[in-house]
Amino acid sequence: MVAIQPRTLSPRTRVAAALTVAGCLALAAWPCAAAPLRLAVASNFMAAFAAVEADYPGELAATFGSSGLLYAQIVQGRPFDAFLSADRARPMVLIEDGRADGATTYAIGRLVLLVNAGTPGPAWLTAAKRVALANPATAPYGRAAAETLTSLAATTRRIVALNVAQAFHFAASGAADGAFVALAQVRAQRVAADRYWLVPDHRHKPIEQVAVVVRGGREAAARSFIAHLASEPVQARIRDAGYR
Amino acid sequence: MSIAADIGQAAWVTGLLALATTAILLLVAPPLAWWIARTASKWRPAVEALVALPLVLPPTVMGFYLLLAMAADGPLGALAKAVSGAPLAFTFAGLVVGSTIYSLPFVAGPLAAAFRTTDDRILEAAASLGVAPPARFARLVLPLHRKALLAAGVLGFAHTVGEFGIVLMIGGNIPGETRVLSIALFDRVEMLDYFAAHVIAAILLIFSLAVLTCTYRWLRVP
Repeated sequence: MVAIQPRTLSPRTRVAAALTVAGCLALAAWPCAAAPLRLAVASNFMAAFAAVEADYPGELAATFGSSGLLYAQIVQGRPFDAFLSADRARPMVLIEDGRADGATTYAIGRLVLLVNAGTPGPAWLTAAKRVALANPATAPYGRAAAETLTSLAATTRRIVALNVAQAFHFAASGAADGAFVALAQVRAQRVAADRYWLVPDHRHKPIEQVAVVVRGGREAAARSFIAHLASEPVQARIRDAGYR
Repeated sequence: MSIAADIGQAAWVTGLLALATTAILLLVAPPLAWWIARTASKWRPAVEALVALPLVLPPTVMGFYLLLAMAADGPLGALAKAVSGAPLAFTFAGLVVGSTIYSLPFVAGPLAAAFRTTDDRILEAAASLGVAPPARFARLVLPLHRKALLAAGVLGFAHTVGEFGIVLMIGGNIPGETRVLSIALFDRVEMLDYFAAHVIAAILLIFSLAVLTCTYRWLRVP
């Protein structure tokens, strides 16, 4: 072993060494001190998320996407601490497979038809129109939109988006004539009430949005976050944002 | 729809898109590349940069601007509406426009590089015989560089087959119209349908490898 001779190190080298050691220690300690809770959040909840985040004491790092995409990532082992799905089915499969627990309904979603021109409603959905919806195979709001179109026997051309956020963007950019999105999205964007139609509940299966704790993550912190979600003040803010 | 029918349809759309894009590029790119290779204009660097832009820009940037431009009140969308009466966003024609811009540097770049090697004496000899510049280009330059033309065409075709980001932004995933193989693959992965995902991924991998191998072999044949 070679002993370090203090005399052979110049003052500048010593300062550099000390800074390097301090830097390494800080880097090693930093992730533990500030590690945020890793949340997989369905896209429709992006707009309401700020209201949830507001008075939560811990730090949160949310990844947004369609419930199907996030579900697939959890199954493939992407480390998440909690999953805020836009449906009930996917969290239940995760629980059956032993990947999650603590199912809590945190919101009931409301589907709206947002239009760029004309009067929003069943009569708007003609064959000449092109309406954007989230992918029914992976996004619960897309499924509800497809159920609505089927129940109205509408022949409107479907533009399929990755998730409900892209569906909104397709309409907002003017590229599509309208879009099926979440009520929370049009509220957050302050869309005028005469530009969207609140789809009646009987047109689609209920959008019950369930949150679960993902096993193998920071389960205690995730549990306390979901309890925060279910608490009455936060529930009131979620309802204000456009949910039931 | 069965998995096979879905994949077949996506493969058909992909092939048609790549063919249409390559055909347009082989008309547009040679004169443009010739100009880039030979001009003394002060605008040459700016035009060259504009052509090369898709090489460095994220496809999402191009997709974002293209979708806005193709909207009913955007410049491209209004033009399409005036010419054909149909919108451009979320249509096959819209994808062709996007792919043409996106694959342009893959065709124009290699062509410009090849054109720079043209022997000036041949052109001067033709000029002295009274052959006009367009005829010199069509009957001398293009045949001289037929290998570069084929390589550029293949590269443009293969690159269009491999396109994903722009299609995701402007396609709208419509079966038989804008759902290409790369999008179908993405869908299947999101649905955890690994069987179909494997089939599509293997098709794209084997196709790309085969096309490039054939092209490289042909390029070295004397």
